[in-house]
Amino acid sequence: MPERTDAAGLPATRIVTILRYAGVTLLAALALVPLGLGDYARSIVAEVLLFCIFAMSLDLLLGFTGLISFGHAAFFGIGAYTVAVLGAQFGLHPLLGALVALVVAAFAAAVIGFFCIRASGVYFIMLTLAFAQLLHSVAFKWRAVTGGSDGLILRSLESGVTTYYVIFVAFLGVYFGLRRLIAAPLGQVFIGIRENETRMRAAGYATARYKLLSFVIAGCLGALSGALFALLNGFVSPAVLFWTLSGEGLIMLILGGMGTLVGPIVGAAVFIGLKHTVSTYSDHWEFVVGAIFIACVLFFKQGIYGWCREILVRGPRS
Amino acid sequence: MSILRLVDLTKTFGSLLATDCVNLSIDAGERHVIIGPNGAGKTSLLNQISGQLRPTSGRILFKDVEIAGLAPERICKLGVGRTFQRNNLFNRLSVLDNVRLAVLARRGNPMNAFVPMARLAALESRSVEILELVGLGDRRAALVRTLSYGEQRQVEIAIALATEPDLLLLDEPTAGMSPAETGQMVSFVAALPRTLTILMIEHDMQVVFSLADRISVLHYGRLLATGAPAEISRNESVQEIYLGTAH
Ligand SMILES: Nc1ncnc2c1ncn2[C@@H]1O[C@H](COP(=O)(O)OP(=O)(O)OP(=O)(O)O)[C@@H](O)[C@H]1O
Ligand SMILES: [Mg+2]
Repeated sequence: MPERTDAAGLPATRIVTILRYAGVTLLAALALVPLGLGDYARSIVAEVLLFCIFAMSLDLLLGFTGLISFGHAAFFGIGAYTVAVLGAQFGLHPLLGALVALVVAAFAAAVIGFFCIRASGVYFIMLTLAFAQLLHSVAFKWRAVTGGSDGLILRSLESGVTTYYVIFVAFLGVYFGLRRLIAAPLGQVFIGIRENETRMRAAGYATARYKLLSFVIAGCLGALSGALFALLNGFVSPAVLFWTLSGEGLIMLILGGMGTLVGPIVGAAVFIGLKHTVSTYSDHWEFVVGAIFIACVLFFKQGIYGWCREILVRGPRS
Repeated sequence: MSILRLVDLTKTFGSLLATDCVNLSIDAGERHVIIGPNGAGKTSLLNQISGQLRPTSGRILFKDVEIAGLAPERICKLGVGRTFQRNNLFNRLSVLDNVRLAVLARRGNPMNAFVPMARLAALESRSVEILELVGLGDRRAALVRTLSYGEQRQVEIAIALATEPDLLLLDEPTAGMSPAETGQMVSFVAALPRTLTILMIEHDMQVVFSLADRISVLHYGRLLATGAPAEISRNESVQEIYLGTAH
């Protein structure tokens, strides 16, 4: 099927060019953020970037492999707590802590995934939620190590600018790494499983193995975002493991559009952006996000990014 | 020499006997067609051979290896490929990607996370070769959901062939096809090499008689008769099912 090129729309190659220029401009602007913005604004951008990693990692599961996890906060929390606990108890440098966090998350994801993958549909959703809530209560109850509800304070990096660049580089790595992976055979297998698992199995794929692999990769990257969050915040509390964070990840995907890598980035930016702008005017920022969320679900099923692409293709009507 | 042997194969759904103690042996290179009325248990039988359904009891020997109850992916790797009665494809992917996924499983490294699939020339040329074989060479860039029903049936076969089976299971390959498409499908299947064994379910008697070496008749899960086409058309109980009990 040739790409649709209605009179009002643009040919596909032009759209790719436009999006590419927009992307390069955005990356250049992000690289220059510490020069142009103050401390507060810079930390907001850093927060957006680390939640982009969180949303992209969740999208690998949801948008690319078709596994709806409602427990992604588990990995965010594992990342954050690994950095915080190792820093507070053993004085480990937070960047080393982040590396350890990836290993810990890989193990945790392999174990949690092993059980969850066996279930499907609603059972998968509930199991992932249950594991995350289990970890949440561990963080809450195990005061000697986690500080319980008081949380843990950790040593930050030399400067806020350094922290920003660490997060920026991690963001670049995850974005381009995932882009590679998705275009490569492994990513195509994930997509095949999302599209039709029965057919994949009949074609010779042990899909359980690939789903577990997707779960582990997503878990590691989720933990990376959590570790960066600890780095940026200098403080970790059980909130990083609470189910609402898993829900926020899902909202980011639905807002931005899943099944692409740009969608989660747009979703995370809109979500965190709204959270900070609206919350300065009113306490009801969740209400605004909720309304936009409902509008997205009802009117743009592809999310904001999918909708933008559609407009570019079709032209600005309906 | 037989490539597939079903021994006392039985499958129940609750109190329903979908497969009732079926014994059947298929020779290597044979074209074997299963016929029978709707709900006779033909698809259920195929699903047990390819692993989508686990038999309740009995044995399935493929090349003398027990495969009853194995996972579909294991059975596929052992050399059993199949198509589905209702198109079961990657609808939102291109025709090329549909076939390439199957080629990847057989000939590539699915764990490769670094090299873009589009740059793996061997996978692409093999996929295009198969698409040309089934007559879809010029449709490779189209999304599967935009194809006609008949073309989608061809993608079904292309994927099955891409798994490089020794035994090919076809579940009503011509169902829903126009007479012209049916004709093409028949000559396509007839032209497949005899190194490939084909076990096929078919309703269209013209297709059955132009392809079958032997025919088996299923009725309420039971194997009523197996034999050469001429024997089957003379068989009284078969005539009864197809003529007598029709209301
Ligand atoms: N998963 C299932 N659970 C319960 N009953 C089933 C299941 N699959 C099939 N059946 C029943 O088993 C019987 C055989 O079904 P099957 O699909 O094998 O028949 P068929 O010969 O392929 O029919 P058709 O010609 O309509 O394709 C039917 O009565 C059907 O309702
Ligand atoms: Mg059937």
